[in-house]
Amino acid sequence: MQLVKSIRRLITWIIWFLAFMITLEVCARLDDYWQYGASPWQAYSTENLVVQDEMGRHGKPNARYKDFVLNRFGLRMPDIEMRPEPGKVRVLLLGASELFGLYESPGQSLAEELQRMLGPNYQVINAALFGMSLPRISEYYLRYLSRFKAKVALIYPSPVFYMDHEPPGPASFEPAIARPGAKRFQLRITGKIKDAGKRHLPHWLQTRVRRLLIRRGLAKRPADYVWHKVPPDRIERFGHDLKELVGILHADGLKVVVATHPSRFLAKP
Amino acid sequence: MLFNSLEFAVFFPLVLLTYCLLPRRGQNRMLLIASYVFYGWWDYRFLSLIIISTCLDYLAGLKMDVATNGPNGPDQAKRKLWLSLSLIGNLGILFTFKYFNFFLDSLQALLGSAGLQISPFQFGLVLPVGISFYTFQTLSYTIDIYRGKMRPTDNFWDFALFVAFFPQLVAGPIERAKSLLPQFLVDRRITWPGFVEGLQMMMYGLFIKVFVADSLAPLVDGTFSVSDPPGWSVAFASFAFAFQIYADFSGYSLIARGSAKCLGIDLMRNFDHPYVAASPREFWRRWHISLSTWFRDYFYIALGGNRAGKGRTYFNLSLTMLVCGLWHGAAWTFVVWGAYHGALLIIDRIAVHRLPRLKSPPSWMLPLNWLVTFGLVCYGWLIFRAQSMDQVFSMSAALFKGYAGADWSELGRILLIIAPLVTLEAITLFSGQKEWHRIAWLPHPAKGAVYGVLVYLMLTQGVTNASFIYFQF
Repeated sequence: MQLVKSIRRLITWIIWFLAFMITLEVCARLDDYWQYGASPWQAYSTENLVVQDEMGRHGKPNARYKDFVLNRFGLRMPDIEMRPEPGKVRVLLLGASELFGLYESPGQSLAEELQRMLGPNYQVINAALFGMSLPRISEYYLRYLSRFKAKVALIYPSPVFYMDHEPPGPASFEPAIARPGAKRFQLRITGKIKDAGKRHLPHWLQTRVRRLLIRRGLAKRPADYVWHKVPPDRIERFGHDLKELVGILHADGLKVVVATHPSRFLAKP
Repeated sequence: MLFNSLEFAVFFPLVLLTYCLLPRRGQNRMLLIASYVFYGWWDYRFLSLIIISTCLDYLAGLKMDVATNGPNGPDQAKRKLWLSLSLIGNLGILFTFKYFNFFLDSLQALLGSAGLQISPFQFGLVLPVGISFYTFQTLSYTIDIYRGKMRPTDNFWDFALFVAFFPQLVAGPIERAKSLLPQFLVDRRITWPGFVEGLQMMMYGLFIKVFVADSLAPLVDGTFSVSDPPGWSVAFASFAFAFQIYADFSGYSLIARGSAKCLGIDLMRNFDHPYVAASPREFWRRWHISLSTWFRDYFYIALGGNRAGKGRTYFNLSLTMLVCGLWHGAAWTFVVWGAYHGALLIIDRIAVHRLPRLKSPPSWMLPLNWLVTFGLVCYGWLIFRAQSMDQVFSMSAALFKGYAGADWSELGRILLIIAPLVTLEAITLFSGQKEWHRIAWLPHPAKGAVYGVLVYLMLTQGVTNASFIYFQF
């Protein structure tokens, strides 16, 4: 009798917990719908902003993810015409997530700051997209961006792609093929909980958690996984890819500005 | 330590776990240490004031008992002496830390208006958190002993715990010694239903504090921090503040009661749906019950209550509410707020006396009475929230004009924020339950869903480490 009672109580709690968790997930989806117009039924991530087709990997026209809104050309900026306005110099920004403004508040991305600084005689085109290595940017320019007829290009290359275990290979595109890693169903509440953690937990605790996760991640790796110095072949590779991109842009008649990455890697003397 | 902080999220489970492993005596000692840690987290130096109050009232209680039960019968002079010592000691500390500078400033301003310039000495004192709460709590102990309503405890540590019990130390409920102290003297059992009920109270309290009160705070602060807000903005802000202060304070009280309940201790209920009140008198029966009953029992009745004629009753009522206002803070706005409520209570009494039908009005009149009462209470909150009397005057004047171009979306935002609170309160009222967390008729999946919504709103919209409004009192 006691056992039956205990089992019944356990089932009650399981039902309660399931209802609780399902409600959290439903709330997360409704919240995304009300705030950003995101469909509650489809997967919702930064991948919603990207498309891979015969033009290569580029921003999805008129896509939206949270506060990120792309225009009809899949660029993170207000709508523009294909041809430049007479008397206006177009500045094309090429880079990855930092330049795209993935971590900046709306209105605070480098592209918007630069537009404010340069004034009305220039038109800054934010053509950066997260996950773009230098070979991908070259491909992206040749297949997609060259039609915007920019006069100046600002390259903001992210060296992080060259610090990974495998360096970026030559750009390849697979038209209309879904990425193998992309999940169809993802719990949205986990992302919300992470965001809440970032907002509510003190910085010292967040730093400790991050360190713990890094330590755990490294524990599964071989001893030579961590580099204490960037291997010369990676630097060479980075230089080669950058020169190639600059060459492509020069060949198309653009003036090129290369901006350095703002991160600072301190090496012990 | 704030209830809505990470520190408390670590502190409370640790206390709870240790509490479960100890016998009663050990539990009380541990709770006392935990309470001092909880309070000392703000500023350990303020602990000295609690310890002084504790020692004084413990001694006064014992001495009064000896004087009452001496071999030659009760010694009234000694009893009075020890009660006076307790009152002077406790109220002296309260006055020094809370009101001294205020009275000096007011005196300086008064003399200045008469052409006399003085620059009096001022204490550079910081107001200790919750001093008004624990002073009143410990005073109830000595007054009850003096009145013969209870015997003192001879266990100093249990008494110290009664004064400093952490769940209600800084913002109440202001417990009576008769109801709280005996609970520390008996063995307590933590039961599963009691524990769950405690957690539910904490959860709901945290929700209304973190989601409702803290989301309303920027809207209210926005209006009260500008010099000449339009009338509509003042009206919306007063309405929003009514819910902010209710959610903030009742949220705190619920977390306090919930955490005490988890430890097997019952604290008194502090709020009973105050905004459904249909008269000022009813409002005070439902709002901050532990304080209003304290003033009724230890001040209003001590002044003579309503036993010495109408005029004297009105005077007692005014004085009680004036002091009640002053209890909230050392500023003229609080005094005026108290006087305003005193006036409302007197008008209510006169109206009921002249028109006895108003005592139990017909049902069709109730919505009107409720609306008038709610409006008057909201205006009272304007006085309470204002930073100066000048602001009270300018905002009151603005209420009669400046409704053109009202931003109705702001009212929409306020209604959206208070919607969960109002919905849950309405469900509670219509289901005949006293408190929301006790709703047992909902099936388990529905309960899980309701808690899911509350947790989601707290996680995504809530603010952490925002202080409680009543901490300043």
